[in-house]
Amino acid sequence: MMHDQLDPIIHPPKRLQICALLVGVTEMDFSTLRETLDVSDSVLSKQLKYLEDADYVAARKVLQDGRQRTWLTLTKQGRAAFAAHVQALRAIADIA
Amino acid sequence: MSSNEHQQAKDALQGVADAKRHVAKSFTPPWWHDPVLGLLLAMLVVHHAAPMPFYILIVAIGVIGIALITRHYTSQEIWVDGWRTGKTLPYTIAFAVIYLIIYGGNAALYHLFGVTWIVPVAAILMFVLTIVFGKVWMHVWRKEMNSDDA
Repeated sequence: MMHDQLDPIIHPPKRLQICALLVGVTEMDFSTLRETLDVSDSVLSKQLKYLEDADYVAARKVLQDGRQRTWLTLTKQGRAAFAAHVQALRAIADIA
Repeated sequence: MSSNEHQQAKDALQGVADAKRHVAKSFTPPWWHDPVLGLLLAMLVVHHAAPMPFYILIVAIGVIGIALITRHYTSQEIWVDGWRTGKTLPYTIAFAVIYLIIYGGNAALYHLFGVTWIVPVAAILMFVLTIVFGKVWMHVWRKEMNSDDA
């Protein structure tokens, strides 16, 4: 399934889930996102790379308590693209 | 459009809804955040009535305390900005306006008209309002997360 209105960056299931998990929050820790999705570091990093390259997700790295933590946020463009993608999915789902 | 595409779109939407519900369930700030914030805001609302040097001390404790609690809040695995765009924003704006009214109102009544009882009343009101606002804000946010809106 790939319609013109659907965003090819967001469309793959894992990336859609990432956006859905980030849309309601300001920031989410990388490890929390990884555990929620039940994927490895490398799988999540790979999926995030697509979203970061499209400026849909921004990462903020901070040294905290002696370890580096990465916080992820859905950017303004990412939120707009996600909303448009969900709208397109609704349109497809409503047309049986 | 095939029924397969229709079903795939429905499944994707269900996945989105499930993810948002999961976040709504996962995000639980510590129980003491709202009472401590309420106490700090109450201190800042009535600091004007304290004599020197307590005046400065109360402001310093209030400001440093808010900075520390904000740092703790934003260091959680998940955090949500009170000023986020969404259904919670009108509640945040209303709370900020009420805070300013209580702040300005009690200072004016105390200094211009000598109404001393307004100071403890304003402090208690601010403390209670902060806790109530925290609960209402969280309820509205959870409701938004649990809804089917994107």
